[in-house]
Amino acid sequence: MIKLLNAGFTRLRKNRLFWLLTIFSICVALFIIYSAYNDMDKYGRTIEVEQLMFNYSTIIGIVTSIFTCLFLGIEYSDGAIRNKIIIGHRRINIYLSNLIIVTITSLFSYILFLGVIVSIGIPLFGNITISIANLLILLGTIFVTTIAYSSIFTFLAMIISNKTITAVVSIMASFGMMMIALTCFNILETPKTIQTSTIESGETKFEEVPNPKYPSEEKKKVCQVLLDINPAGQMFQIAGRTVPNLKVLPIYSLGVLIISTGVGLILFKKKELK
Amino acid sequence: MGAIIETPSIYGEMTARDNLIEQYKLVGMPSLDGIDELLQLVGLSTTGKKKAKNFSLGMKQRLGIAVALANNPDFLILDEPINGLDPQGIIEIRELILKLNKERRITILISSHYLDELSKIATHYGFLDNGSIIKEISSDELMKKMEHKLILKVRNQKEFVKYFEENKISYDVVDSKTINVYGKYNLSKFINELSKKNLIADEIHEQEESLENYYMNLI
Repeated sequence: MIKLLNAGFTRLRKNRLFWLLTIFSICVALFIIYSAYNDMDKYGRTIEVEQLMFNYSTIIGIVTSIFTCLFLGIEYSDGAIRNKIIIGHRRINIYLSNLIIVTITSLFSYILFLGVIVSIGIPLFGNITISIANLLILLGTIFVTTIAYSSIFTFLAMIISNKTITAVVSIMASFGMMMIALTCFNILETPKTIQTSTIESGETKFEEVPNPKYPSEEKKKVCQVLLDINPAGQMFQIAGRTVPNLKVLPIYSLGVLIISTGVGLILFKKKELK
Repeated sequence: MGAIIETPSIYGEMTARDNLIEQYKLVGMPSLDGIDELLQLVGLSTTGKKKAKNFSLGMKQRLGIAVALANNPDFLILDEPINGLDPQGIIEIRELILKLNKERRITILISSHYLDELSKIATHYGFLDNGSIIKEISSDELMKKMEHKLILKVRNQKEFVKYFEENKISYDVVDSKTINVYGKYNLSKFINELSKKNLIADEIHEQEESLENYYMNLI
């Protein structure tokens, strides 16, 4: 496994995609700082640096999916997986080493983003307003969810041997997760009452009536669970600073990691490598 | 052991040198010594920063061989190493294979459909049909089988054999009625000599076999 990781990180260092990802992370951080500074300058808004730190979490899934499908996709197309097996590396080690490399790269991307936000954001906008403990818990949850993301996209890249199909499926999966999360959010945010207007004797009267689209408690529970299990849902909740079940989110993420990696290992072991 | 199965396993986005560095790390070589020698051995020492995806097919094949040699194997498996190569590429691969065998004492197993090309380098042959080996034969034995011969159908086989033994003529008894005589003979002179000894064959055929015909007859 050490040899696989060594070789993988050597390839990563020389990979143009990795450096593009690095530049992208820095650019996103600079853009967020610039936008926040604009808001502060023009509209007098108070900017919380910790909020800026959470913003990357909403797009890290897409970034991870693109990086993973392209970085691991060529393992099949260039015959690298076949070569590794011929040399004598076990399939389980090949899978896990790829998972580790993708995970470390995704986390590196987020840490780099944080580094830029902290180094420029704090002098510009002031210190963090929440406790360090809370901040670390939230960032820790983001990191665990990033690991869950990495496991999902590594699964797709290792099971699908066609690079193009991997790319399409991965990107669709990342957007799909975001869409499902947003749908759950919308359902949970549905107001209990809505305002209606009626005209009586020439006068417009407004009244609050129960919203027919308001979800039942059952439906709300299901949506909340779906939101908590979905990595995109977790990221949206953290970025939106509304996390009713913060403590269970890492457990769900670890569950996603275990299931996707477990199933991935089983399928990869049986896979016909042409 | 080193191997190239179907296509060489090389990263297109990396240079020849980087591909070898990658392979060295994968096999756990303690240092990067020997990379330059390997590149020189396969004729890729001047590729510099050129990416492997821009190599010709022959260059990719040679890089694939260099990658397979990274862990100093005693045994190399090459699956269809000359498929798709132009004549110059074929010659380069052939010369490289011979060099590896003679200078580095590497045993090489080649799987190929190019029988004529194999006949120039192979020392032992294994013929496969439907996934099973149907014949294993050394190069010398095979060359003997393909050599020019006369096929004689005879009735008094023992007398023919006695004559061939006395005159040191190379022959093979195929069955009770058939004898193969190897070598190039003037047919009329040969028949005359036999008839002087009262040796009359029922039938005489001349045959010279190519490796292709030999294989087709085998399957």
